[in-house]
Amino acid sequence: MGLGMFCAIVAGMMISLQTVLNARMSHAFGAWATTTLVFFVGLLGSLLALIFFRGGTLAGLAEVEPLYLFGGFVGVGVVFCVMRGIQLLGPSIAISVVLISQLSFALCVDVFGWFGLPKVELSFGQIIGLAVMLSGIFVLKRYQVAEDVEETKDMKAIS
Amino acid sequence: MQGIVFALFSGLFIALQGIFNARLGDAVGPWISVTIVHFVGLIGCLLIYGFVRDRKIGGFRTLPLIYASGGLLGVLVVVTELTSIQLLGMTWAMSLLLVAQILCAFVIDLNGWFGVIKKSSNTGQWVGVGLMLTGVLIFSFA
Repeated sequence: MGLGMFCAIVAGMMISLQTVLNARMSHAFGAWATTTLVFFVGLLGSLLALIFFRGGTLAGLAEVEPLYLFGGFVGVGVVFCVMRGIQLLGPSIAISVVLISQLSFALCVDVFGWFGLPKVELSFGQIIGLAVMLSGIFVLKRYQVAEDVEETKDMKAIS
Repeated sequence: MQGIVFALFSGLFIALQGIFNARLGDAVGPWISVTIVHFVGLIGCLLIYGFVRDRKIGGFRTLPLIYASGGLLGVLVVVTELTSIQLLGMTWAMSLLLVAQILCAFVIDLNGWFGVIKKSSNTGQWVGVGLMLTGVLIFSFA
């Protein structure tokens, strides 16, 4: 539990940082030029990390469902859809819809055990916790977005 | 309407990406996974960039080089996210990640870090922060 929570929190914080850096770079450099550069630098970083940490085995590739190799494409799809969503809806509504969609899908995956992930049973208390947390996210976002309506045509949201 | 569809797919894709990476990580370990993710993603980007070619010439030089390091953060993101999904399941991993992401963005805005326009907070935002953290506590102990 501890390591998992730590990882989730680090991932969230890094996404936030990356979003800020990328938004500024997109402004100066162009959105897709930026995304391409980000993936290129990420690939170099991954290779370095791979050389450094080793571990894992390429043999596993033979058994893996080929679909799962395409997470990178899906990531590019995320960038594209977030960008278009914000352009068409504005950041406030777009972000809310993204959050609802993301979390309801995550919930379905746990409840129904989709994609070969183990089923996760949620207790009643945990569902209450989720509801309180979600309401907090929406309250915070509501008051934030109300302040900066004219800002953020960028991909400043979640990505 | 079109916008809603894009936003719905954004959320779906964010979750899917986490799942694919976690499952790939099950098979080949996190470090090979993150390399494959970036290799495949780079190909996707290059395809799109080939069509849009939106590079602003000289724009890159106006930025401190540190901004290019955003890609390195991506490595950390993929590895930590897939690990947390493997350990916690999707719902709890995604929720915690979102809370951390949103709180971090809030703190960056408050302090005006990274050249972001500094914003003052209002009571509503702090109520939101309180609710989020309460929810995390309830979930952890329920």
